[in-house]
Amino acid sequence: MSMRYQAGIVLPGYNALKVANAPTIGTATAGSGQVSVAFTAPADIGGGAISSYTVVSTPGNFTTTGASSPLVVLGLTPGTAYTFKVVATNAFGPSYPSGASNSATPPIPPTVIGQAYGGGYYAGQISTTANGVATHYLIVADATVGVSYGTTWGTMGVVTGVTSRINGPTNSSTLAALGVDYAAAIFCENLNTGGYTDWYMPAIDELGVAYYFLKPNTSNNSTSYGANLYSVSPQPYNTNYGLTDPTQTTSTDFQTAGAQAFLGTSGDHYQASFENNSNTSRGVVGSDGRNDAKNKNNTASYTRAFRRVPV
Amino acid sequence: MIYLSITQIDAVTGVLCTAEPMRTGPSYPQVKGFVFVWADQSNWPIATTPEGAHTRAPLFFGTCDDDADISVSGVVATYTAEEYSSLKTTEHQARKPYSSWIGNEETMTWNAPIARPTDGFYQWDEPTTSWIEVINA
Repeated sequence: MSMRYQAGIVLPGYNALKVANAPTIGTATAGSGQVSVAFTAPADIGGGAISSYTVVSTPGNFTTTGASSPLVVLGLTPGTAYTFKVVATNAFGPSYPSGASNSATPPIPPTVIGQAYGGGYYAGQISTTANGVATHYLIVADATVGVSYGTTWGTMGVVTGVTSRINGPTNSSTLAALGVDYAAAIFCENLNTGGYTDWYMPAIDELGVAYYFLKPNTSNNSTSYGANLYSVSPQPYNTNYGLTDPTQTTSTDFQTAGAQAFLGTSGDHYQASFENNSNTSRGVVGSDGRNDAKNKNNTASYTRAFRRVPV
Repeated sequence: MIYLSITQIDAVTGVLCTAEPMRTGPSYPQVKGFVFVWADQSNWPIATTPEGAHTRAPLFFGTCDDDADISVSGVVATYTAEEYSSLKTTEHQARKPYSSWIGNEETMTWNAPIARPTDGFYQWDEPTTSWIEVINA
């Protein structure tokens, strides 16, 4: 039924000759319990400026209204496939709806550390608001495609200013734009796996979360590191690792002999997108959680791509 | 006991990693009694297609029960004991980091002839066959 009618009655002020043409639907992109719907305005806006756009889901008729693309429809059920149409409204009423979008399915939230999720493996939650309230699920890339050895962090003697402990996406894209010496970030930014291209070089505290939940071995942790303002329970808030906290991960893929473990045959230093000084960057040692500094041009470190999705 | 190699499939759809991107994330075929032993890690990372699928299948070697169904999607090949052993040796040797290091094919590891000191950061120096402390600039 056209949205021009409510209960079969033409709305006051509606003028079929002056409403806008239908918008053109774009891509619907699923997030956690939500979908972002992109669209473009109609070339013919009718008799007046478009005041709002409304996106409607099928099934469920979930709606959201706003002034421009994209619009985010909230409250969707994880695991359910939705399509969307968009209507443009001006002073004379709503337009015909656009065509239907592609199908988008909000993912079912991960529950088990190390489970397959989001094109990689679930590695815990982070709180970018630094208050213990989870904002994102952290995902580490599959080691068969998403781990690089010997790729340099950057140019010796150059200060990049990349010092966020949690904003891996921005750190990573900033580094990758600086040129070929920043090969580790470029590797992550160029990674295309699992159908996703939003992989990045993790910030130091993102790597720290991954260490906490995916610790490969049974040996003691370094107790001088691990304090993390961005941690989420059960990882203790802003508290260094204990000798035996964390314990070895229960995910066999990530344990010492597993193919996904944060270890390597040539050492176990995993680089973070975190600058220590003009000559060194920091990373996390996969075997004990240390945050050690290494020269930016070293070719003896691992780099593993991460991505994150909103909670 | 059967010697075999398997590869990754999407955790939900079961589609092979070389056919489509594993949007859910990687998983493995259900093969009765499968015990993972090693992977062809010396050849990683594997390139992906523009769509995000693997350009070749990573191989995960191991054993499974004699009555396992090995016709399922994701099982790559079966081997004789000799073939399996030869492939394992080849992979282990490919991982050798330095000529002086001592290998343990059972665990697929390599260790320096001298234990790494624990009081700082050291890097192996093959010409002197010793650990040299890394002094960062």
